[in-house]
Amino acid sequence: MKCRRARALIFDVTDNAIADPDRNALEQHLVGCPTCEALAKGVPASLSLLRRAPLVHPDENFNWKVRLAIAQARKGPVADPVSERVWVRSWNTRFALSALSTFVVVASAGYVFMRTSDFSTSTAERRTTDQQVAVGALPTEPAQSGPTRTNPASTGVRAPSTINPALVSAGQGQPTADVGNKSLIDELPGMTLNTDSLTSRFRRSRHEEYRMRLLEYQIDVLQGELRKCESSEK
Amino acid sequence: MHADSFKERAQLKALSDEELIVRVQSGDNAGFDILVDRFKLRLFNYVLRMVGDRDEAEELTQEAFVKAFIHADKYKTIAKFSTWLYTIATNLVRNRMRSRKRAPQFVSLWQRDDDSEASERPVDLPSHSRGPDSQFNDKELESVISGAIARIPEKYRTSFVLREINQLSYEEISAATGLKLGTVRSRINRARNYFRRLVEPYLEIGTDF
Repeated sequence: MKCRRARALIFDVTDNAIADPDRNALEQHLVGCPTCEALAKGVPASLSLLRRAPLVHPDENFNWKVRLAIAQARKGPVADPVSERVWVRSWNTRFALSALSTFVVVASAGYVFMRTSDFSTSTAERRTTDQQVAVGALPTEPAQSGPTRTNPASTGVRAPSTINPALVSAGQGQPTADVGNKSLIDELPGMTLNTDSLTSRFRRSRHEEYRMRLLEYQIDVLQGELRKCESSEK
Repeated sequence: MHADSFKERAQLKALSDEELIVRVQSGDNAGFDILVDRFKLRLFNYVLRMVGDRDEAEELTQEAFVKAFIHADKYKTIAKFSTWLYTIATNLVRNRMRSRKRAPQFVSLWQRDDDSEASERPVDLPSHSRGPDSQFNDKELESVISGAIARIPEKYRTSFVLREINQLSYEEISAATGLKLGTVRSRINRARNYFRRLVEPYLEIGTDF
């Protein structure tokens, strides 16, 4: 028998769970193996020492403490004010930081958009007015109106250079500024109206403003032309 | 009234653990006191051997009983009540040991000259030089035993204490700890070997095999 098997049988002896043939074989092994013999003697002796140690008794009021703890547990959990404050403080801090970071991101995006749209708008306006002046879409001089009609240019109507009819008319069902059979709105980066975002709502409000001003200008121009016709008929 | 309560208590004492907990499940809490009386000593000693601190052991033992009462409806009579109770206590002890940052404060029985295990040798305590006929007093014996148990690695200690102190069967230990039967056996045997080496200097060698 090898020592490994003998050690396992020694523990079976401790548990009183060894068969007689194994016991005999173990005894024979122990005769010639001092290491296993020491183990066979040491394990029962150490466990015997362990069992001689008296059991330690809990506090004499242990039962009452258990009853009290049960009564408290049945009432419900009592929040620890200190830890709850810490948790609330922690939650408030996180919430505040999240709100602040969200605000910063939105404000930055809005600022960047405004700068971009101003730049692109002014660029597109210059292009539009240059092109429309070239094709004669916009009058280069204010029209001569009748006595009752003042010059639209002198009435405070915004100069054409600030109105971008392509921007206003695109997507609105109005005829777009036909420059090379291509809508100027298509050439302007990011100027689409098919997203319902904060920036597109911002764009729409500016478009509406431009549209109003263009309509006012067009009305004035048409009125001027009408009076011209009436006066020429007369 | 006193006679009735004594009589009632005597009747409750005659019931088994499982019968008492079933009464608790149906709302009769009087039997739970009997269960606390029956198990508090063994459970307390088990937890004490694991955590090594008396106050902590009392706290955890109380918590085990509270949990057993609060969650009595979850007990199923297919298992013994003692096994269920020890399972609760074992889980509490495990959680506590995990969150612990310091080692138990015990007097070490061993010292090392350097970091190697080979240089380990027992500390020369006064009782070590006694002859085989002298007996430990209870306090010394408790000190030796508790120190030795605390030195056993925790994963072996649980099964060892449940087997050697609480006298649970291998199957009950397997159920309480969630370990396989073979694992329980091997861990107990390793712990026995550890314990033997630790207390060997104090043994009265001569036990017949």
